[in-house]
Amino acid sequence: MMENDDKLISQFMHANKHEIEDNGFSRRVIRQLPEHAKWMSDVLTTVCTVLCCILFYVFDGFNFLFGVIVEVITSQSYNLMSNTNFISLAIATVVVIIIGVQRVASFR
Amino acid sequence: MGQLNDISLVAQVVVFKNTRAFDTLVKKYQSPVRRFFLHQTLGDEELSDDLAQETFLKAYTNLSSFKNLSSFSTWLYRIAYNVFYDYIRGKKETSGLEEREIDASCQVEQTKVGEQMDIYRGLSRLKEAERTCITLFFMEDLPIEKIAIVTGMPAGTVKSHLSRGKEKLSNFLKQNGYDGK
Repeated sequence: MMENDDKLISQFMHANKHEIEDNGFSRRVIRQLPEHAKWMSDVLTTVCTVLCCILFYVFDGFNFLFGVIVEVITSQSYNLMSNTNFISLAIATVVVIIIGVQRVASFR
Repeated sequence: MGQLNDISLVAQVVVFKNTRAFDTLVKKYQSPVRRFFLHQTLGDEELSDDLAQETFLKAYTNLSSFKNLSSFSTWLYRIAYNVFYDYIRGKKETSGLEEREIDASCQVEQTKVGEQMDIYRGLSRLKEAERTCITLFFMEDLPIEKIAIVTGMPAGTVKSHLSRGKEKLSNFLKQNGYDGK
């Protein structure tokens, strides 16, 4: 009786056993893998970096950057020269020198 | 031979992070894993595919813990079983088991016809543990020892579930005109 039941169920189950077509399932799984996501991120970073370098070169970024640096240095030097109080600067220098001499003398 | 090939593919994935080797494993086992979920969810294809995808992702991230104590397919079925029971536990916490069973049986009524409908109707008569044991034993041809490894149940408990499941399923089949001839 039990063997008949086994046979009945086995036949029924095997009759309903179907192979499932992949239909893009494995591709979806591979896309979700953390390694794949990291690889995609690395590729995107590299592409963006290369693109930025090309644009920088094409639009003469070096000259522009050099000009900006020179301008900043020049304007800062001018500001420093025009706004400096030379008497205060001389007093501060003298004070620093005196403190330095005292320190050196204390080592003996 | 197949087992050796699986081990070689697993090694390539673990050591070289070779996604092509993993793709080969997915292509090889997608059908049995998706079929396993299809029977557990009583024919919910979308849910089955989501759970199968989660199974393969978990397999990939934990592949280094595969110790070759059992075959790769048994290890994969164990992950699938855990994914399904995690899903069931989550579902029970939010909506209760009865609702899930009603949803599943309604879905079977609406979307499946003929024999496919009969198998899901038959399986819906079984408790979840019985359904798991019956499908692994009769559909995936796993021996009782391997079902015990997959489910984490003692072999005696698996036999009990199988026995009760067989009784319910054979009664259902006989009532619906199947005689096994």
